[in-house]
Amino acid sequence: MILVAGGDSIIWGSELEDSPHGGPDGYSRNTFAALLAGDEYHCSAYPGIGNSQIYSRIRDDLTWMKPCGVIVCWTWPSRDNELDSDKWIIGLQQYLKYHDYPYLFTCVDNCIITDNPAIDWDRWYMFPPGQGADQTETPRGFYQWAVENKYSIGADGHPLEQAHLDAAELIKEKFNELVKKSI
Amino acid sequence: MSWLRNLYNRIKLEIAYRKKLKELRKRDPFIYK
Repeated sequence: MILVAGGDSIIWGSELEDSPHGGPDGYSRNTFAALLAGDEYHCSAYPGIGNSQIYSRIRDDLTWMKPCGVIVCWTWPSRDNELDSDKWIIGLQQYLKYHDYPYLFTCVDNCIITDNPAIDWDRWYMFPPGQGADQTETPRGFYQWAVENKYSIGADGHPLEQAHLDAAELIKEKFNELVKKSI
Repeated sequence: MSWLRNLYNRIKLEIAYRKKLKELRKRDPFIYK
């Protein structure tokens, strides 16, 4: 049973050692999404895309495959020239619920969080708030959490292997509760 | 004169929207240079 992951370069695994290029099968198996999935993993993510494309790529892939679960790491809404990405999030949430796919959402930055009651926030994993004076005091996205905790970052700014490894460990409990138990 | 007030309000909203979007773009380290 395959797990599908959506997102941008973070989920593609840009700058991770096992991600040689941006072409077919160039994605990493060491991102937190891939580590949670284990052996059977399909990556719908692609570097530089916005949330509208994250939504479409997953929808397209689900027309030809039936995964056991879906994990999505939403990116910055400004990539679509939007102040929020609620319509894409709600659209995918409705689709996944309608088709009974277990899923977990997370994000790279908490600027995507709104007070929209139509979004099922119980199915989101947010990284713990920072403790330091220069850290984000509210639940964080993966990128904020990795940078503020001073994990190694690649030359182009992507958090490297250790951040993904520790992130997978943090998300595991929620992932098991929402996705794995349904498999 | 209501058309003028409407126009003024629409421009004001558009400026606020662009300003907020610009701020949001600065948070994206991979796109904002």
